[in-house]
Amino acid sequence: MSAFIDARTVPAGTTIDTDLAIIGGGPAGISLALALAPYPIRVVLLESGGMNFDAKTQDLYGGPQIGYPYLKLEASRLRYLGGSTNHWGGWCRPLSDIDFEARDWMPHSGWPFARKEIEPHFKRAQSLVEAGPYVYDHASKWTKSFGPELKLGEGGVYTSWFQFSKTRDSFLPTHFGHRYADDLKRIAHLSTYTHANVTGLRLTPDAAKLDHLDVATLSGNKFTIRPKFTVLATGAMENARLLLASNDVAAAGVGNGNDLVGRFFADHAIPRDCATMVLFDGKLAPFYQGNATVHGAILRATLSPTEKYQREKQLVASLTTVENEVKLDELGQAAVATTTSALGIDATNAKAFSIGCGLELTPNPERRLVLADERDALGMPRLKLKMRVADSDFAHYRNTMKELGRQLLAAGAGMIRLDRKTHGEWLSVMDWGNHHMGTTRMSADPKRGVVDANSQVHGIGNLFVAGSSVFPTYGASNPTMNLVALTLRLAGHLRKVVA
Amino acid sequence: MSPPPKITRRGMTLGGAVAVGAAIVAGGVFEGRRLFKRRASGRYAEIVNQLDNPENAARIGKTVEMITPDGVTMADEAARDLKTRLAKQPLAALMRDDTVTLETMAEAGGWVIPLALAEICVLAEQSV
Repeated sequence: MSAFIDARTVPAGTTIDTDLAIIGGGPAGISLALALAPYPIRVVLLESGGMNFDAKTQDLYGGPQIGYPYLKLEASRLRYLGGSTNHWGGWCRPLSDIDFEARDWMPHSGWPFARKEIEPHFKRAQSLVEAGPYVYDHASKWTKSFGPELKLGEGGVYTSWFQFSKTRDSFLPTHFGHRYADDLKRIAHLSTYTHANVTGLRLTPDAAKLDHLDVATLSGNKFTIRPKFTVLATGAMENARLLLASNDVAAAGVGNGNDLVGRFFADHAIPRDCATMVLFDGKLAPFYQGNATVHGAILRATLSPTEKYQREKQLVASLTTVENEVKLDELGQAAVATTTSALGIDATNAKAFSIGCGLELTPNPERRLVLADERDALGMPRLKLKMRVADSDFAHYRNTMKELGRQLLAAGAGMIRLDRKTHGEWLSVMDWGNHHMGTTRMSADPKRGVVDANSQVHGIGNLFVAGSSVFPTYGASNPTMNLVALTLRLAGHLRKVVA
Repeated sequence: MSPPPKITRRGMTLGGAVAVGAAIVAGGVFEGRRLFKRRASGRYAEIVNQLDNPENAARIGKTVEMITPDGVTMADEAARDLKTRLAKQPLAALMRDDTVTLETMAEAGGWVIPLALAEICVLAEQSV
């Protein structure tokens, strides 16, 4: 077993040749290195941090922002081995068919391939994120002993299922760095460098290929990696930053000939307490408010619009979670009493619950990352986020919730109050998933995407991008397991081209 | 051991009077609650009083987001429509019919309710 190499100990000015360089030791970079382990490919994995959090390294992430309020750039991700899996919540669910489709009501939507392209990789991805058996929407067969699913009338919303990553013998989600460090060390032809910050992607003079990588440490050391192929896997913010900042040969940055790098930044909006749900009999199976563990799968039920309903009503994807029991105000009590009495339903044991949501944002080229004037400790320009959110996305979600309310009443099971309507009301309860996506979006057309269907940067034959930055649309599923599946697909491609 | 108490005619009469008195008091309280619960009056009363508690309905009616803002005209139209529908089926069935599609659902203070109920609540607001 070989130890990781601390980049601060590499002699300054060294040039390291390799078949493949992976920039970034998060879930994408680690999954890629593990997937290539059986093949005779010399791989260098470059991780900016070490094994644990370090404030100076984390500060490299900081940057200004304007527009719609968003999380601090240095607070919504983590810069050490394992990347943002070091603080993820472990929610997993594969993307749906519709998430890959070009939808005429959603501008800029659509992947260059259908879901079936990454379908074969979901089970291996499930294994890497340690989410147990692959169950998802078949979970209701397993959870009957916990109680029934919510009774809903026929319609557009159904009980959907998430699963959770876990570290063995614990309920914590899998932190990729700690979990897979030993596995990485066992790979004979892999060299993992910690504290190694890539500060430049240097192209050949004709800008057709990546020539070498500039690497720097916070201690002042500098050296060079000269790879035959490179995969950029530093997350949707840093991927954009490195491409934009590497502007010595291509003035707009690497892969940015069509001004797309950094655009279409996305996250899942997670407004809290956005609705109230009343169940007339007060009975709610525990897997709606929390997790149920069955046969090694940690399951949680959510409520989602069906793909058919999304198409019919032209809605964005969303998930709805049942949160805490709440007390109704006077109007709420009147509404429940009046409605149930008119319907002839007993509501003596009624209970109310707050509702949370995860919401897909419509792709928007103006929601973007650009380079700021200020520089970090390595001399790299910091990122500046221009955040925007369309009120129409919240209106979409409101329509989905209204449909849920109708279905609950149709079943005589409950009712819904929509608690947010205006821009200000949504803003007041806004939170985010820390799911950075979209900044190097994938498209077969170089005018519409930064990378092609194989994740290769358009026009640069030996540079690839891994991670959720390539997602052109992203549904309401958490990205980690999906980006791992997509990375495994990329590994299959690289295995052929690098060899 | 003492002998069992004798049941006298006087005792039975007194007991009966107490029971009747208690029933009257209980009935009075019940009826009084019903009487004190404000009933709707005016031209929509027949419809509104189908609800158990018109006062609650009026409270909801204040928050209904109606399709047209044309107050009285819309209320008259709604009342006519409701009368026709209620002649054919009971209120509960009418409400269940409305829950079949989103187009016949309304919002009141954010609560998603059947349109028929929302309309009755608006009528209640004008009647209680």
